[in-house]
Amino acid sequence: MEYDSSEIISAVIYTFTAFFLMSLAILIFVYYSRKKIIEQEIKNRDLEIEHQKTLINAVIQTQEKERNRIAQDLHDDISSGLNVVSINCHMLKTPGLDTTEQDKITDTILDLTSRVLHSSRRIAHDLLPPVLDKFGLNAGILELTEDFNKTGKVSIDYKNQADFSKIPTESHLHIFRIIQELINNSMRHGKATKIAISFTEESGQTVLKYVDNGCGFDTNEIENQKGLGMKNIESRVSLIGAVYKITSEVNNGIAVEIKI
Amino acid sequence: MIEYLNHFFSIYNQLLCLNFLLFVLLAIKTRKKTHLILMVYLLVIVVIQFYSGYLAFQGIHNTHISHFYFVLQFLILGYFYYNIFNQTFQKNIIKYSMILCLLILGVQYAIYPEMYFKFNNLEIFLTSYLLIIYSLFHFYNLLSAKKSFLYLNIGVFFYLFGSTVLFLLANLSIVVDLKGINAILNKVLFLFYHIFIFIEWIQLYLKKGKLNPKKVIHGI
Repeated sequence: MEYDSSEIISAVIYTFTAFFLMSLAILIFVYYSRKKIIEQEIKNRDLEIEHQKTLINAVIQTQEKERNRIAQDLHDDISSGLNVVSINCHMLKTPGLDTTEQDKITDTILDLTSRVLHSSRRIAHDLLPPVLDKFGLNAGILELTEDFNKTGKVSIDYKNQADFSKIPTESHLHIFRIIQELINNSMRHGKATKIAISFTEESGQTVLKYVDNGCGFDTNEIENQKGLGMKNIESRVSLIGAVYKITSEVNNGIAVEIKI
Repeated sequence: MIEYLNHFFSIYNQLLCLNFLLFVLLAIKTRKKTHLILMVYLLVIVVIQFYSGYLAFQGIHNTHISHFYFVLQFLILGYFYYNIFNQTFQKNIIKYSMILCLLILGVQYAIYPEMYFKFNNLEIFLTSYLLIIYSLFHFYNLLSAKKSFLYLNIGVFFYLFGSTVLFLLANLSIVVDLKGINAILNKVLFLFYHIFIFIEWIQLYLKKGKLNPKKVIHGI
């Protein structure tokens, strides 16, 4: 069939215009998509920065709370105790005391000083258990769990199959604090009565598994992840370069797994 | 009639009918507007395929059915995209472009009614092009939203883009002889299109069954 050259030309022009329009649509799409992707990246980075800020805030808040507590403890136990000791020492200086009165005052002084000594040891121990420092992480955790077991309010089962010498010594304290925080959380918020802590080795990584039988929490609720304790755990976990996973159901306790 | 039925159920039409039945199932279960629209779309395609195949089987001209195919596809899929968009700007674009397109085609048929019996180039290109633009809108939305109707969108985009390119090349067949390859390629595109529709059905069907009683938080 014979076609006019004009028909051929119009067909070519028409086809060319159509291809041009389609390429134009795709190019415009690519341009706007790139813009949107970059905006999304920036938004994500901003969110990350915000999150880091809240973590830092949490750490500072905890620090201030600790300082407050130490100040309170020092004031209540040690300051006041030493005050009474100094009053008693002054009383010793009064002329004309007979031996029974002297003995009574000396006994009071001895009693008070031993109590103040005991308090200061306790405060130091709460701040940093000497067992952890001298005998290592395993002994430190053992002592911690035994202390809690002795109170009778909770029964902690601690098993260790891992080798802590693989973990750098700086991380030992962090792990200890993490366990302390978890136990505090379980007892205070979860009202747990049984806790199981175990360290195992899995494919070259040390895995800490922590399970309690408390009232758990709904992991869908964002407020539960905003608690001070959780933030501190998160900070410490990131500091030692580990990964954590929390599984929880309401009334079914929580299970925490940390891979170091 | 029975011979035609045997002829009708080629692999392409089998896949088409399977997809239609699957979407009927899905629409009944979920009763969502978007799923209903997709079901209606597949129904229209099945009917058009059946009827045009029947006409061809009897040796009657079936070119005019193509108009129903393109316009109905444009209307139904356009309405589908109208329903899944959230931005007013995009919804307005769909509304006005659809009205404009129908007006243009209406005017064209009013002036040249004999085009009803031929392939209408403008109609084919305009309807496919607008649908491609809507699917590009949806791709843009998907960049920052949850994955929804991704596979269907990919299918629609590739199918319309491919069939438009094929159609434009077929137009040029007066200059270059294509030796019928465009018909084969069109069938391949159709196959891929319905495979994507099937994948989308799987996604939609599985989504409603997912329950999450225990959630897991991952850190760092």
